[in-house]
Amino acid sequence: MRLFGHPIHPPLTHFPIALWIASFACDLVGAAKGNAEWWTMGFWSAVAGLALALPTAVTGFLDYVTLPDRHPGERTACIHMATMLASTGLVLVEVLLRARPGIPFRPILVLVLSGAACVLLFLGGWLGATLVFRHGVGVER
Amino acid sequence: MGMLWASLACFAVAAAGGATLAMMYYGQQRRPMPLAVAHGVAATAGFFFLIFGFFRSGSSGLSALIVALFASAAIAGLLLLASHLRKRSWHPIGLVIHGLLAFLGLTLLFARIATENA
Repeated sequence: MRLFGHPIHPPLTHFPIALWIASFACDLVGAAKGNAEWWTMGFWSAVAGLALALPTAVTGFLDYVTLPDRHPGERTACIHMATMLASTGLVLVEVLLRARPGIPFRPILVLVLSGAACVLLFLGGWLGATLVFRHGVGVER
Repeated sequence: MGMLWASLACFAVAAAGGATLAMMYYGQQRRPMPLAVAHGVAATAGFFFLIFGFFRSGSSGLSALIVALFASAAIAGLLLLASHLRKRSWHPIGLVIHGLLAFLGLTLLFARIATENA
């Protein structure tokens, strides 16, 4: 999917990735310092990431289904999509567990979910880079 | 609680559509696209009602588990939709996993609403 001839999905991916990593970092500092403000910042970063994950996922999905038939990156794209959606699911559950800004009721579980989401983000981001730099998805030749 | 009831109703409609689609798949019949779209729309609406319902009524470990189950079912459903749009055949295991996760989520959601009302 393109806007003014430019692929939309790759630039959008930066927002949820950055926000969820920032959320995990804020939660870690909040847990270390016992400071509710850091937890609050982590909460809102996760929520903002979720809001921006929706257009990112939709554009990525459209890119995947419109890949040319028998494209060499098809399998990688499928795993990339599954990994990123799983990461989104983890953040969604984490936000729901927190329910409101501030120190969560189950801080360890929130940290584990947030950390696991970051690991999946790293793997999914790696696969996304493979799609662009190795398989040339979205690249004009 | 109204949101959770709305979510349950949407998921029940989606489940009926999903069960029909699964029977057609196993009976090697052609699945009508409008039915698949209705299944997806009902499930998506149910998921949004579920999230807002849990935010409004207060979430617990069980709520998080229900959302996790439906989110996993949604991921499996999206992968099935993607393979359909790419004209790839569905792996039966994918269909079973999607159905099982959704069924578990629906059962737990029903249990959660029933225990809240008891």
